[in-house]
Amino acid sequence: MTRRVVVSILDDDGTPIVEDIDCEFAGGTWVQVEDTDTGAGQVTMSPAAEGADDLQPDTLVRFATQDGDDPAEPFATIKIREIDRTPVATSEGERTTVAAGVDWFAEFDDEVILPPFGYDSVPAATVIRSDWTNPDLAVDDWTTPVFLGAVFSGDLDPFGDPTGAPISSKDRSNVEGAADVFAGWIWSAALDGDGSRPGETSYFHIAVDLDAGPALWDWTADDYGQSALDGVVFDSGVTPPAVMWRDIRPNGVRNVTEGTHVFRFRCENDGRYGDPNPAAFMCTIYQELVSQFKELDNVVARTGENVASADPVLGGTWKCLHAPSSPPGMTWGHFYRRQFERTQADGGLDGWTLGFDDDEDSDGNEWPVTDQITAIVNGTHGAFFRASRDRGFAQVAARPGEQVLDAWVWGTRGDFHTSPPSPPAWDDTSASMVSATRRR
Amino acid sequence: METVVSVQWAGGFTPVSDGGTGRRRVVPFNAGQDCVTVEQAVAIGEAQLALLGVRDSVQVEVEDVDVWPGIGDAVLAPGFDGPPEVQQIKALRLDADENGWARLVPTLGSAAEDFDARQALRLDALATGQGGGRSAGAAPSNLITSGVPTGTARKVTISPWSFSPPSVTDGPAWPVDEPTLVTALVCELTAATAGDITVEFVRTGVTATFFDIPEGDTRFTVLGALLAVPGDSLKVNVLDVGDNTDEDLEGVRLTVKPTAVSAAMRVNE
Repeated sequence: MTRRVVVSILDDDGTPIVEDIDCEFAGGTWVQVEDTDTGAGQVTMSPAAEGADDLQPDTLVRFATQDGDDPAEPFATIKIREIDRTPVATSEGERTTVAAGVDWFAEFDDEVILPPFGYDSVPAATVIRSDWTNPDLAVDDWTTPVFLGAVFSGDLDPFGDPTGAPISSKDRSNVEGAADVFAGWIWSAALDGDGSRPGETSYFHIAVDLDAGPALWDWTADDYGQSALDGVVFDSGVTPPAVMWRDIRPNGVRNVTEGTHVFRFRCENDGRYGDPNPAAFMCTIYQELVSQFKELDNVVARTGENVASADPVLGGTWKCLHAPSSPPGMTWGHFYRRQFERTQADGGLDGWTLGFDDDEDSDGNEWPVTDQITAIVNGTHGAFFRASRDRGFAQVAARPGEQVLDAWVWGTRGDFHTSPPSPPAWDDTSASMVSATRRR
Repeated sequence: METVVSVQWAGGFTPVSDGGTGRRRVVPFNAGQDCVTVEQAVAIGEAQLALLGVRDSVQVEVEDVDVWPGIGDAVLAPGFDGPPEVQQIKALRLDADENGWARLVPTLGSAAEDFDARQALRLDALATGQGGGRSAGAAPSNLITSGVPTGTARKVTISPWSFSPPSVTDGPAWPVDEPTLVTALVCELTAATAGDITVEFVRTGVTATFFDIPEGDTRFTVLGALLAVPGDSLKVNVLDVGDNTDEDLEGVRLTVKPTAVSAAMRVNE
């Protein structure tokens, strides 16, 4: 069995121009190919060869092997970057068209990672992380938080009604700088009989429809918290020995884009303190609905007593993740799928599909969940792939004959990692040359 | 030949030797701030030493084989010393000879190289504090340019009104010089009274709220959300002392302490 190499030339959207040109000398026309280790490829053609005139920058050239009359099996497809022609030479053999390119995987170097909510969205993250800040993080199984008590302690509310009870294990001090007298403390679980929680980290989420314009959120956490909007970390709070919960931390954006925005908070209770040691989080989100001030009528969402309500102004629609054993994260497959879909929705990477899903790679290996993946917005998809490989998340390749992007959990491409008992043996009967390098 | 990894860690520098003799090769390695003990530094140094031995890579030129391998597959091929070893295909190169026959030239890596790559990733994760999805949290960075500065919210201080003894009196006006939200009025009496005391809160001549401090209470708090802007004035009046007689209130002081915060949302302008 001996294979021949055949070459096809396709236009930049994959439509064949010339198919299965045999690489051999044939009446003075010939084709030579080389697909190198680095994903680069080169085809050298006689000017008289069929297809030589069709080679242009961004043309695709597909290398395939063919055994007898069997269908050609694609080996690689390259995207032409550069063409050198030698139309005049004394020797006919020196008259050549040499087209050099790179694996068509390089089309992913022609598109950039978009912000989590696409172009022109504000705020826009410059780095997308697979951690708690990521708006794409699935929160379907997050739960409804528990209302712990009112932030303000008093006897009458602004309507002359009795106020809600504060957290018994907090002292009577109001939170300095708090403006929303209807705000309440919530947490991912109820306090124990001592009014305490153990040392634990919980996460809070709310998606809010905002008008275009300023948005501001007053929040704080006991003992410590961080805030993020649309994947942008706005505030990392202060850690003990500073006391965070006694002060409101105002975060804001001068002009958010109209639409749904995702607020996330990561809150820690420090378990080193004795009882009572409550854990708590509060937040009020304002927009300029009736004025430019923090009036009650400008509240668009708050933490409060009615955690089960469908109205964020009443304290509803918050979700929380209670003290997970490891931080919330995403699989590489899920993380990249969202970047890919955003780019396709914006008109890029037309025709490409993914050969993996959120849960499994292209060989069916399960993706691990991690909060360590980062993608630089406005960096190319290709750069993200290289960073993913270097950081040990994934290895990526374009399928040779289809516009399918395959990806594998790092180190699991091929069968080497499964240690096959009888791998193919190459010796001097099948190998014409073996070169070995030893380095320190 | 002795190889030494010079490990920089949070507390200093620690050398870790492979125990060799002869000329010395020192390799620096920064284990980062998450490495906080000598024991950890030694463990990292020893792991790094495992990466520093000699390594082989092999290139094999095959004209054709029954099963064409893919990248990442295992093959049995001659190693540097001759005998065949199970190796991993790291790269594949295809070309054609002058007659158009396919020629495949894979580059192979040894199992040790695969181990090296994994080990290097682990060490990198260790050194950068990024250990398999268990980060301490996101970096404190505000990554947009138009955000409102963070910090704590500013409260507005308004002098308390004091009535000693409480009597039907207008308190002094407090001129408002910045957008202010009054969130609470905390009324404190130095002694319990025998009857209700009615207090009025006035913004620029208009009653904002009034309420009774119940008899017997020495502390009574009314929450509010009263907005006042520059040009407004605020004051507290005692409207009524109820059934209290002058003798009842003698020596009693009523203090009304407002709690207020800056009401401005557009703090970045």
